[in-house]
Amino acid sequence: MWAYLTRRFLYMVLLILVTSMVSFVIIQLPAGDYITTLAVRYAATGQVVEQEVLDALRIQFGLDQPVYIQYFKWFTNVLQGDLGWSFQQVRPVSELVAERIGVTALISVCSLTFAYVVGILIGVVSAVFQYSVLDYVFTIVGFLGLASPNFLLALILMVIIFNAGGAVGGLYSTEYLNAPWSWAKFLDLLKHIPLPMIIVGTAGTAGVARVMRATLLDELQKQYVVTARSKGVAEIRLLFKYPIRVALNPITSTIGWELPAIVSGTVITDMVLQLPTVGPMLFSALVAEDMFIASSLLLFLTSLTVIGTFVSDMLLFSLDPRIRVN
Amino acid sequence: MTRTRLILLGLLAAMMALAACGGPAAEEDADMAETAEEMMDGPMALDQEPWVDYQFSTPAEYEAETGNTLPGLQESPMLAARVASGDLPELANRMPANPFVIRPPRYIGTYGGELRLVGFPEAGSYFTGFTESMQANLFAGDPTAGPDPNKYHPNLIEGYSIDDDGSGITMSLRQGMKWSDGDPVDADDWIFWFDSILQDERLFFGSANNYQNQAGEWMSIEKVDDYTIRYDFNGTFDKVVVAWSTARPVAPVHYLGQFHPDYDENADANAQELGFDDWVGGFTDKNMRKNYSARPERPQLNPFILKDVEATFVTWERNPYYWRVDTAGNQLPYIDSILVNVVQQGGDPEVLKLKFMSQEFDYGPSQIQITDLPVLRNNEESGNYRVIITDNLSTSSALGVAFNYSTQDEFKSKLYNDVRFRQAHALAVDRNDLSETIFLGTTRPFTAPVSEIWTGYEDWMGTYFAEHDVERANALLDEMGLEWDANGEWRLDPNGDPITILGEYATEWLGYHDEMMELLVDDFKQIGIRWQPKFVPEDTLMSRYVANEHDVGIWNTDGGSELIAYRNYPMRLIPPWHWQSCCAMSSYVWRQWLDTDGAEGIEPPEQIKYMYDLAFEWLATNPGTEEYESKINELITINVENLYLWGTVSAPPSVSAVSNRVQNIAEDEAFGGAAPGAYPNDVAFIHE
Amino acid sequence: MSAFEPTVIDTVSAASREQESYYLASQWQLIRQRFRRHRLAMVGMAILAILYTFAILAEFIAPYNMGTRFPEAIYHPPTRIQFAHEGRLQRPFVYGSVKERDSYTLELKFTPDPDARYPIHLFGKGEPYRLWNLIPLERHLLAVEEPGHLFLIGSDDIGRDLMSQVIFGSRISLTIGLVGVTVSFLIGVVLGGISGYFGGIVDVIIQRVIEFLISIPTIPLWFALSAALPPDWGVIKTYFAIVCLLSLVGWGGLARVVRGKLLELRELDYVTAARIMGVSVPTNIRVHMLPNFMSYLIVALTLAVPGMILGETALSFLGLGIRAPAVSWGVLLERSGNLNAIQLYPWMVSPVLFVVVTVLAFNFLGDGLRDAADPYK
Repeated sequence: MWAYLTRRFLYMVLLILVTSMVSFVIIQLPAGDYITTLAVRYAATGQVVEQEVLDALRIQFGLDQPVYIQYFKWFTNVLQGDLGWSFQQVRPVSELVAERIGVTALISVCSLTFAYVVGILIGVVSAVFQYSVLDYVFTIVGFLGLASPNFLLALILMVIIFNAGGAVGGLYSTEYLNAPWSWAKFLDLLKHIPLPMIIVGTAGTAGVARVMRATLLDELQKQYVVTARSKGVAEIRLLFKYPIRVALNPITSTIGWELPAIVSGTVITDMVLQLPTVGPMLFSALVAEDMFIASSLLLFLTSLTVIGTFVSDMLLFSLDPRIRVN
Repeated sequence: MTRTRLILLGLLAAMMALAACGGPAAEEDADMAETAEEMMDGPMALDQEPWVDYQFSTPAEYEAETGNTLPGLQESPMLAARVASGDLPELANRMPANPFVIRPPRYIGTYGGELRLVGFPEAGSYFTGFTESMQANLFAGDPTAGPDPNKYHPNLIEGYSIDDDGSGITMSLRQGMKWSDGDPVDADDWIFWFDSILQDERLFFGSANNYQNQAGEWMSIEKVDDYTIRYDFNGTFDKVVVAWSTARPVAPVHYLGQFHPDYDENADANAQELGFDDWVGGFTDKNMRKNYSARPERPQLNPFILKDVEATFVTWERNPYYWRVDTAGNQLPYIDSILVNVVQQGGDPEVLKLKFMSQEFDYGPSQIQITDLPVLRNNEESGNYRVIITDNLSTSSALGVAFNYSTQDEFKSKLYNDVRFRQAHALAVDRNDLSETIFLGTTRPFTAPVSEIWTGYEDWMGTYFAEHDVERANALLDEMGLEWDANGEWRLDPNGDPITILGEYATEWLGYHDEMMELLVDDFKQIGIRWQPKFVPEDTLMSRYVANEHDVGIWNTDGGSELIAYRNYPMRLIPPWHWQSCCAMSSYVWRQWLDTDGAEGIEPPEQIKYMYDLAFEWLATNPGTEEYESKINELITINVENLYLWGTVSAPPSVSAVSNRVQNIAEDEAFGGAAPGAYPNDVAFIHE
Repeated sequence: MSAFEPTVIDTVSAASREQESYYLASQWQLIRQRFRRHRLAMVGMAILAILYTFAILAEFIAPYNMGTRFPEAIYHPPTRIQFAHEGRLQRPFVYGSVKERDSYTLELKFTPDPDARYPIHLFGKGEPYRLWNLIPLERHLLAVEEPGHLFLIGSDDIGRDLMSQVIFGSRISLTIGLVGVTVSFLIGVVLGGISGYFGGIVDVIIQRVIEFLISIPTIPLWFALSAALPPDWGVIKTYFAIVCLLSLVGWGGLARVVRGKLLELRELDYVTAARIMGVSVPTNIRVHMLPNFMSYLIVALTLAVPGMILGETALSFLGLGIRAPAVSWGVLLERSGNLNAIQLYPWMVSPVLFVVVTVLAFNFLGDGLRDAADPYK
């Protein structure tokens, strides 16, 4: 068993290394570099663009060197804990990521919770009342979030909230941006969080509901349920005593797979809502070819994915004796 | 002036006229005046309009020109409190003996308040439309100054005199002027910049053209006394004032010296202590190449200094040592602080507009454009803001087209270099439809590469081949011998395939290019030329343009003001019809040939060589002279007659929106048509 | 499949007639029976049938041809079909409209003009077109007399009939899912099959490649690949490339599913028996294993289609997908994703309803199929 674990672990490290290399190359695949982007943007805002400035910046940022040297330099620094420098923001990448990671996790955890709570609820109702009107209504409602394109849903909801005089976009109103923590700021945060929570959450609701419904339907047909029912156990008690708890199993065991989603799953919604999360920063870095911030975030994401899979596998390994035997 | 007014035609003109004589804007003025009367300490309305001759380099100049005396100096209550607590020296010790005097456009403002903006980071600056234009330039020009040196007032300096023989310029500095940390600004700071930054290859990063003579030799600086410096041109340099108008040729040696080995032998160690490889790293980090105000610790001369930089916001605070006053003796700026909501550029601009309309920002996001006008105007009242529409004077056309004359495809090269091919395309465009469909009827046909306020522009140029005449266009192509296919659908190339032009374009900055391309493709279908529009990301597009691989350059013809052309480079009048490598629209290889003396690129035809010569000759002339006018007129004429870079419709007016709590900003003809951002923003104030 | 002898069932009892038909039914009959019980799935299937018919007959169904512009009708609100004029019932018609540009907001406003009435004809003559680019026709399902406009859900920002755009756009949007799923299905089944059947080192390599592809976040992958597309590719090629982009992300998951199922099946007695009896590997997979999880695959595929349809709209939003002049639902949604459209011209957003309905229909169809195909219920 330890051999298996070690092998998996070593393999995981190798995978992270390879993906970091590939993503570094992938980011540079589009023609041009950050300096090209910068030049175009200066030109587009009517500013003077001087060839000499561009050349000097290219040297300063090290973009005049071949890709493999850039990668090697960056990766050696990463090993020493230095993630590099953002060209756009002229600040260290580690600072930028650190500032955003907390907010990202907060929003993701909120929306995941929303998705799971609502999804489980819908799943239970539609399984217990299978093929009834209630089943259909709940299923349709549960799938609406999945079925509508996130970016448009976000925009439409925002306009509706705006028309109703509510707070839109971002995580705080501008007045609380640089205010110290206070009750009012907390309330302001509470006003802004539901929108991303619902938009991102509803997209995941359907998946949870579907699994919940299917497993619960399976459980409800099992002998012990039939027996309990025939012995006159109250329906509600019967439902919550075992079947629901059993049906929750597959859902909880796959929660580890959501690890990377916590960070990257909401890029588009975050872009529309202008949330200060890592998603829009990654996108913006990719567009501008802001190398180090993009590759650091990708390294981070791939590591999370790989570690998430590893953890899930380990969980399954320890939970399911059949796998262990094989 | 009259030409400026000509820019707005039709509806827009009617609308503006309405606003000027009793429309919503006038009502708003009345409101303002009323509130001003109510509040005794409130803003004091000034009645001198239009807003010209408002800048005075010294109080003496102000008094001599207006006959008024400048009252005693006043400061913001915020700073007064700091003085009282002993935090800050007295105002008199913070300001130069002779501050710069500016007469605000409408009101003597009131102190205080926080301006809330939205911006996104780019190479250390925050594009907000406000903070960019607040850097302190050597000369302060009127918004309509153009290349006329008489319209530039000494700004960082008190005054200057050019030697009789034109061989140098002597500048008198402002005695008592301080950096934002309280250290005096003196001749050493100027010499430090000129000798140790400008001429140090490891540190300087701009075009040296304006600091070298024709032979490429450096000019020089000498210290006359602590507050007087003299530059020797090493020859003559007639356009010094215009060329240096936006320069900021001074740096705080007392701070930056610690990172420069000429001034501190521990420069490397000092930089390494902060985590940089060597002194160059430390120096460039503190003294950003494009943006001097990106580091809070670096002393500034700007009205606002950076205070806090966080993930989601940046704050600026007033510079207590700022050296400009209004005509009532108030130290500027009026506003105490600026809060910039920092968002990612990849984000969706729509939510920013919503946040602005919910009164969370005082300026609309920079992505606002003409197509947003209906929604902005519809929410104007509930959002307590006003939409400001200004002529876009620096852009001649909303979308310009330049075929790639240096293409390596033999057949296409023949096509593109035949003027009839370009004429036919220009005639095929239904410009009325473009204007009505996309620009809400605010634009008019315009094909010239420069706008009508240029010297040397003649009335026929804008409408040259601007009419919609498909028949004539087809006749021109028939004359060229381009045969139709059997269905009469497309014209054919020698291989018998339809002539196909790949129209690569980018839309990152202007949301309407998609729609424009769709309409244009339909138009060109009428003359049997198959255009295949293709969106590519901006940096990819640039690489294709520079690599000479594209069929046609498509871009809005922006940035082409006469001032920029004269000061830097007439980018819309010579190949590649844009900045050099960046955004080169067509035939970059010709320019490459010129720049490398024939080592790289392709030799341009004689006509193009002549254009280059003409352009460089023009750059050496003096504004106002007959030579200046004739040269630029000839250059424009060649461009127009050949339709090298031909336009579709005139540039749509710039649209911006500003909260009603912000006053004293550029918003109508009194400001010479300048956009709100392009204006000395230290006189803006907040009026709740 | 050999005949099943229900010897123990009492065939006389009326109550067990149903049971009898149940036990005598073939697998497909069973699936059909169970599927009918899932009403949402039935509705979903019906909706999809209609939508695909529209897509196939787009030229005929759409009131106007693809890309036909009405420069005089920018952002025209939906035209209401009228059945009565001045209280009298008559053949359906639409009112003409009067255009006016608001002098302050500069937006175009249209007011119905009761004096101008244009009758609507079923199978009436309209713009001539070529059905499937072959058959020249000029009759449309609905046609209005010139110069009236029939904008069932309004017109768009450059004056095209939005309904026609949606119908033509469905050609790309409704097929992109199918084509994409087919591509990822082929890769997934082949590689998953190889991996699952052979196991060992082949399995390890393929699994590692899949894991690698799954661990690279999709957005940069899309970025790089859409940038790598040759610039002179036309609309159709780009379309296909984007399908491949979408499926590239999907095939790994599918391959894993196939592999897992095969691993399970490989151990079943009848497969082992076949192997021992000398059945060749491809035959064994094809004849004995594929049918066993065919139903499972169909479900997985049905459920993958809506993801692709949504993926297409997301790519368009990011500026990486299909772009005008091609028309897809993603392109239409991207055009409507701005404040002007949502606040002032809300009909611009209506294409989203088609997306939502289609995605729902596919999901319910998939759910119904899964319920039906599961032999243990």
